Amino acid sequence: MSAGLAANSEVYQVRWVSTPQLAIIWGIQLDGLFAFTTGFAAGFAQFTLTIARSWTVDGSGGIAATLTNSNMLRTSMPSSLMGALRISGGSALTAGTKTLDAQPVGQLAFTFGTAANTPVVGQLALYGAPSIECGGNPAPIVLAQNEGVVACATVPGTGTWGFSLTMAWSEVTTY
Amino acid sequence: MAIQIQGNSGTIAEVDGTVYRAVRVTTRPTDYGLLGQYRISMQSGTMAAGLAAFATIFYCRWVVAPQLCLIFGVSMDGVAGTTTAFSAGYGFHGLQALRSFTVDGSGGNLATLTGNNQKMRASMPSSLMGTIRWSSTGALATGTSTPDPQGFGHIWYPIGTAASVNYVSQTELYGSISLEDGGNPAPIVLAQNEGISVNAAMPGTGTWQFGLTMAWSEVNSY
Repeated sequence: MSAGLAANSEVYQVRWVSTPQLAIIWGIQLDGLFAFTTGFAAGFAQFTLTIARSWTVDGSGGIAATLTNSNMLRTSMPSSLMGALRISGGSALTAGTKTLDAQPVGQLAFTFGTAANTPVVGQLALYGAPSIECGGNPAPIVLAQNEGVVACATVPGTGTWGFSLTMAWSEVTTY
Repeated sequence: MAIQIQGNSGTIAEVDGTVYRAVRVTTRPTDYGLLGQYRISMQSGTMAAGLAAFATIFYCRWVVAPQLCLIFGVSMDGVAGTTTAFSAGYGFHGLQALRSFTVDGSGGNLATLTGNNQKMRASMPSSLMGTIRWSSTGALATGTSTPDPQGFGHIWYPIGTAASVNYVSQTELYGSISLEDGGNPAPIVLAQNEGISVNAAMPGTGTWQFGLTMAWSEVNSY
């Protein structure tokens, strides 16, 4: 991720578009966040997860997941119906058209020092701890058509960094 | 004689295989009826140095009746210092119950809970929570309530003199293992004009920030 990301930039988007099917989001974890070769100015940082409603126009940019015959936990399952699953390639994603809730539902708050090539955050759940697996969280986020979840990042200036995320979900006709 | 468990639509519960013969079950949250489940994450601004000991940095107040509020979990999502270092000492954050909450507090950031905000499913109604408030840069005014003399959960940690340190990672104040509805079999049950608060005691001179998440359900009976 390049330096100078705007505060609260969208770095991960999940959009559910089908109906009447529902997406059950069991958990999302930040797998790690690292300062790379260009060190940061010291300062506070935040990584959030927020629910999006009324999502009428998809976002753009970054890396879109390929979900055709992929990421099923059992081959006999059909391909995912997820409409879009996108992560930053090196900068913020374009937001598309949607309404984010006023406050997040999960977050990590942390600080950066000035050291380069340093792990800053280890594997931590943004939502669904202690297990992000299907059934491990008895109160999942339930997405209906044109709803989704978005991860946003705020980091200090000058530094380059990287991150990865993992999400577990189910697709059902009723819940 | 075999016993069958039959659901509303006539579906019969299954038993797995021939080895353990376990009944297949899935976990579900508390039955919220016509109300719902909610979750909120909050982050402070840069907290100024010199916070009074055990100052309130978060509270919520439940105001309706006969509905009940079930607090399943509250976590600190991080406590971090910045370039203005602390004098050495200890940091403390405690969660306690508030009873007889007759006058709301003030200051800080006030959560927006109207419309779809913080619902875990859009078909749920808007939250009935009266107030959720967290610090921006200093202590909250707490209003009029009676805090329990002892807390329900706390964290305590050392603070050194180095700047830009992550003192606390994601840590539960209440509801350890899982914050979610159903993940904690013994939620805090709030009736009308009850609430919870989180306080802080920090050493002098340093500036800092914190994050906090709460998961709750709203029900007609429990």
